[in-house]
Parts: sequence; C-alpha cells; structure tokens
Amino acid sequence: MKRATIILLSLVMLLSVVTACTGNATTSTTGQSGSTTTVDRSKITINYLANANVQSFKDGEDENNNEFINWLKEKSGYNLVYQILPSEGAEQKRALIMASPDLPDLMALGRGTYLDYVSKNYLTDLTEAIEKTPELKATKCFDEEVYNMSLVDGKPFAICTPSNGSPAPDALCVDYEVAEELGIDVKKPDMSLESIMDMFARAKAAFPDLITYTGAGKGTSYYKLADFRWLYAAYDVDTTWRVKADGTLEYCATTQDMYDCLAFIREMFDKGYLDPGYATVDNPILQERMANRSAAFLGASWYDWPGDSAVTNVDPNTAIFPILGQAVGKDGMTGQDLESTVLNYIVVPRGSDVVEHCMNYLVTLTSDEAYEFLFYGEEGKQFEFDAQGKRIPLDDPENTRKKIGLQYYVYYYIYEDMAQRTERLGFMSIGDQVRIDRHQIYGLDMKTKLNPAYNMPSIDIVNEGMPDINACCAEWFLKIATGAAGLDEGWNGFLAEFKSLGGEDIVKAVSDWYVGQ
Amino acid sequence: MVSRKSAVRGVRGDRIKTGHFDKILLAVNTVAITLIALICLYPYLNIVAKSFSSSFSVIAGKVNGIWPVEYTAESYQIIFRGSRFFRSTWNTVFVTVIGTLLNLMFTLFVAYAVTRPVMPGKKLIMILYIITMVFGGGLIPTYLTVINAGMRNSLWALIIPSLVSPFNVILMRNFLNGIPYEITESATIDGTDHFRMLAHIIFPLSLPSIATISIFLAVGYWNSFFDAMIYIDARTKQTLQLYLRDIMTNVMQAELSGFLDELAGSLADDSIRGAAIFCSTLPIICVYPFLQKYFVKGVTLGAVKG
Repeated sequence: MKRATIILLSLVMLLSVVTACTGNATTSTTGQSGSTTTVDRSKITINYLANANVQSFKDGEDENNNEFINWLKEKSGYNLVYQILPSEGAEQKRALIMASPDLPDLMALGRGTYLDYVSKNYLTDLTEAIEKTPELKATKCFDEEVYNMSLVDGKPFAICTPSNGSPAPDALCVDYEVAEELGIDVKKPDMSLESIMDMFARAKAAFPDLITYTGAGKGTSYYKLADFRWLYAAYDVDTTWRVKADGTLEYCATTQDMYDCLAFIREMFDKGYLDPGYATVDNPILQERMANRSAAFLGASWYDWPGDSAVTNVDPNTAIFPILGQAVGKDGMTGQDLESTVLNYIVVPRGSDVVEHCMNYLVTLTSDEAYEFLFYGEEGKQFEFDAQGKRIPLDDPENTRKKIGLQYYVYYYIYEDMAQRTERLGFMSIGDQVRIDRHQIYGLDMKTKLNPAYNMPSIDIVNEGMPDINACCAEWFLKIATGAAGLDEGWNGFLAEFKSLGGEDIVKAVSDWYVGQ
Repeated sequence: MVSRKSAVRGVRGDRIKTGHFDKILLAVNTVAITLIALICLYPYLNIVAKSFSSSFSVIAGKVNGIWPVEYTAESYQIIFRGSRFFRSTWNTVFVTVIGTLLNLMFTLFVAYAVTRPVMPGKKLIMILYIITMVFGGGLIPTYLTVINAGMRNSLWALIIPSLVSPFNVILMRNFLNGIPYEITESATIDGTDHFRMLAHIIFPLSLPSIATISIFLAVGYWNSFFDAMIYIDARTKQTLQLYLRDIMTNVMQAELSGFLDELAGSLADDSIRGAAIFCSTLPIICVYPFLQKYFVKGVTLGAVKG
C-alpha cells in the first residue's frame, strides 16, 4: 500500500511537471514584419507598457480611450493598446509581464532596469530598426549624447528620451514676519555667506522661541543633506562630480570645498541655529513646521511645499515663507545644476515582431505636432497664447486634461516648456536663476552635459560600490551637522571609511570613463 | 467558552462562591483589557478624525485626538469622485461574496468527502493538500498558470486560483469529525443521499465552523491587493483596494495646478489616507458584530478534543 502510494504520488508530480513545462508557445498577435510602408497599419497592434502617473482619467475614459490616445491612433495609423503599470509594485508587475508570453512591444525603463534587462538578453537590438527609420534621428528630441547613453557594447537597445532634472531650484526661505522685523528685502536679498549667518544670528536674537533654521535632515538626497542644496553651489559642491583643470573628474564629497561647506553647517549647529531635531525632520514634519510657522528660516525644494493653499503661496508679496534663493560663495559661485539626464529608455522586448512599426510609431510620437498636442493640448481648448507668446492654461475643468497627454503619452520634455509649467506654479524656473559655476570662474566645462551622477556608466565597481559610498557620506555628514561627531573628527572618519570602501578606485573608474568619452 | 454567569453558578447551576481575590482579578482584567482595546482603537479613530479634518490642521499636526479639527469631508469627495469608487466597490463585493460562497462550498465538499469512512484515497488526498500548503509554485509559475488559463484581466483570477484552501479544509474536516457518525449513519439508513446529508444535516451542524471560515475568507478577499495588482489591468475591473491605493499614491504625488486636481492637491496625505482606510474597513466593521459569536467559538475549532 505504501509503495503504491509513493508510486502514485511520483506519477502525479511528474505529470504536473510535464504539464507545467508544456504550454502555449510564445505567440504574437501583433501583426507582420517586413515592409512597413505597404502594410495596413490599422491591422497592426502595438502594445505599449507605460509607467504610472498621477493624473486620473475623466469618467468613462481610460488609457485607451481619451482624446490623446485617439489622436495618436489617428496620426500613426496603428492600433495602439496602452497598459499602465500600477503606481505601487510596478517593478514586480513588469517582471511578471516579462516572464509571461504576453510581452509588450514598447516600454519605458529607468537606467538601472534597462542595463539589467540588456544583461539578461530581454531586449531587442535596435541597430537595424534605427537604420531603417532615419526620421527618428531627425526629430528635435534626438541628441547624440543622449543616444549614446543607450549603447551597450556599441549597440543601441533603447531610444533614450532626454530630460532635465528639477525644474525649480531649491532655496532658502524666510518667514515673512521675520523678514520684516530683520529688514530683509525678500525680492533682492544679500545672499552672501556672511550675510546669511548674520541673518540667522539676528533671527535667533529677535525670535528666541522660533527654530532659527530647519530642513528635512532625514530626507537625504543621494548623499548630501538635501535641504542644504541652496548652499552647495556657493562652495562649488553642487554636483556629485566636477571636472578638474587636468580634465579628470573628482568626487565633490571628498574635496576641501565640501569640508568648508560642512564647516558652515557645523557653525550653524554650534551657534544653535540648526533645528535640534534636524536629523529626524522628514517631509511631513517640515510641512508641519511650515504650517505652524515654528521656524524662522527653512531650506526647501519646490516639491516640499505642502498641498495647502494657505502655506503654499510663493508670491513674494503675499507668501508666508517668501523664497530668498541660493547662497552666493566667495567667488560669486551660486545657482543649482540643471542635472541633465535621460528621462526614459524606450525599449522593445525580444520577441516582438513589430520592431520597425514601433520605430515608426515613435516617429509620430516625437513629431513637433505630437509634442505640441500632448504637452499643451489644443489652442482655445486647453490653453491660449498671451501677448508674450507664452501658453496660458485655460481654467476650464473639462479641458484641463492636457496633463493626461503630458503624463502618459508625451515622449520627452523640452526644458523651456517645463520651465513654463514651473513658473505657473509660482516658482522661479531653474533656467532663470543666476548660475555662476566653474565654467565662469575657472573656465572649466564638463565634456558631457549628462550628469554622471544620474548616468553612471555600467562599470561593476561603480554599480556595486556607489550605494555604500552614498550611505557613508550621508551618515558622516549628518553626524557632523548634528554634533554627533566633531568637524575634523567626522571629516577624517568619513575619509577613512571612504577609502576602506574602495572610494578611490571608484573615482578613478568614473574619471577614466569620463576621460574616454 | 464558559460565560461569567455559569462560572458563578457552576456547570450544573449550583451557586459557586467567588472570593475577594476573584473579584479583584476580574476587575483588574476588565480594566486592563479595556485599556488595551482603547490603545488598539485609538490610532484608527485618529486616522478617521484626520480624514474629516481640514488639510491645514492635519499638516500642522493639530489632529491628535479622536475628534476632527475644522470639520470637512473633502477627502471623501476625492474618494467618491466619479464612478470609479462605486465600480471598484462593486468589483470587490462581487469577488468577496462569490469567492466566499464558492470557497465555502468547495471546502465543505472536500472536507465532507474525506471524513466519509468509505472514501478511497482520502489519506492521499489530504497529503496532496498538505504538500501544497508547504510547497508553493512560486509567483511566476502561478502567474503564468493563471494567464494561460485565460483569466488575465478577469475578476475570476482573484477567485479561482485560491478556491480551496488546505488550511480551511483541515479546519472543516476536524470539525466534521466531531459530528457523531451515528447521525449520518442513521440518515443513510433512512435513504438520504450525500447531497441531502450535506444540506440538511452536515450544513446546519457546521454553522460555527462555516461562519468562522467565511469571515476569514471574506476579510481575505476584501483586502486582497496583490493578486488584483498583478492580474487586473483594466481600470473598470479594479478592486476597491487597488483604487484606494491609486488615490493615495496619486494624491501624494499630485501637482498644485489644474482645477480638477486642485482639490486633491490641496489635501494632506494623511487626510486621503484616512478616508481610504475608513472606506475600505467600514463594510467589514459593519458585518463583523453579527458573526462575532461564531468567530469566538470558531477559533478553537480543530483544537484537540478530549
């Protein structure tokens, strides 16, 4: 009986394994390859796996039924089927879709996932497809340097879309009553380092019950104390990497300038200007401080502002926390780096048999006409032009769905258009700020306009080592800022740990890559 | 469970004296459990209070108690905006009701079958069930199986793959084993077939077990998020949990422009989160009191009996 049971059990399990291993062969229902000019495009289905975004669709509409996707279907001629990933668990769902037979024909990836998928041979080599679609390289979004970011072993596995980073610079802000009491001209403040320290001192004396300066110390940005971004450019450490006179790169965090910057922050702590709970302040707590007006000064990014109109107003005439701007260093250095990067890597998974049709669709998507329509909408419906030729959105609730086009379908952002959106929110665009950096002072320019911090080459030592390096920086800088370690003690400890983590080898690897560009 | 009354009176109704120590212990227990209950309840009530408070008071950290500050129902306007909320609620109700009923039905069938003395291979069947409890197929094989069965973008993908839970089968089986065999034997002698046996004898006797399992199932189906996330793409088929999660994530990232989103963008994250939590838990809170007595009895189901 026992033997019979075991034999029966084994048979059942074997059958299950055999059943699992057979199954539908990968089928594609998406049409034909071959000449794309003679094929009836309406019979070709292109499945696009899009990323989640914030704008919700109108009632009765969805990602495959709205004025924008209908316009794209009409212009391209293809049968487009968009599938939007969930906002949470997107990576998991994408991994499941990639493991299933129902692969999309197009999808947008971040750099890390892109390199991962290339290494796993999930993606189609687009060399031939791009050669057959020369119109792609003729669009205004095509940029040689951005295109080169897609190359892995000399082959493009993606079409890259360019982007600029933050559309508005981070800034030092002041409570309007504090500004009035101290006589600070919020429209043209003196933002030299000495003046800033003097403002802190006077604020502490005049308003002892207020926290002199606060910021989201808990929300570090890749490696530095994020809320002090208004300060870094004054010390020429705004970027992660900077070019030296000999043309190599150096890591800003390990430079004397960074030490000097930390000394400024440490001085703020020693004199009692820094929020005592700085290390625990995250975005919600920062917003709470803003709402309660419990701080005299604060360092904030434009996206730190709470979603409440009583607090969010950034008009210098009426704002509760008017924006003062960025600090100015001893050489006049100021402003915030644009952080040019690649927005998305548009890829075609291996197994798609409509690769060339996908390229044709991208030609439509990158056309001027498509950009205008998707980004702005229709004149008279979603926007109108003012006397200066700038687009002003029309506040008609039924027609402000332009953001759907912007968020789900638009292929790339032109900086000037992003800047206009930022200005409509009341923030100064990053392009309008005064930016004086190494270019003006030392005549040094980066060879690539793409920030290596966001477009790190695929080098093993860099991929493996940078997270630990970033964590090391964040930890030590926070210790120095909050008094947990002395300035020199903390700095030396940081440098020692940086070396022990192989930081010098990483810097050399990145620098060698840069020099080889 | 023995009630306090019967403890005082004893099993046979004799009055039993309770000493001072017993009374003190009872009082201390009552106070302690009440405090623990309030501690557990407070965060929930605080979240609900935030959902009914103005965004400014939430951002400023003024909503610390269980009462709203500057009452407003704007968060609920976002949740109930359009027909998506009602459609997703309907989807969730469908999955919960149908899933619970089907699951109960199949669980009862299996448990009944394996408790019949003459059922051949019942040990093997139980072994196979237990194997699936211990060894899972993994996420990707499960996903592929469901997709290949044509259940992608279908609400049935949330019901059929988990139609029979081995744990529930074991629970039910143990309960059914406690029903005296003589009852079913005499029914068989009287000419009852298995379906009538199930309907008229087994089912009424199994109500405590069924109620317990059904509440576990209902809560599980109601809260199901992950399965819905991976199998459901179409917005029209989203469940309530997916919809609410979408709302919370979108509001947290919302820009401060656009008339239709001005409302969403002006609300604090905690307000929306509170409204979402309240909406998703309210139905279960409404149903639970009616099933509580069965739940209390049922938690000891399947325990070793003397």
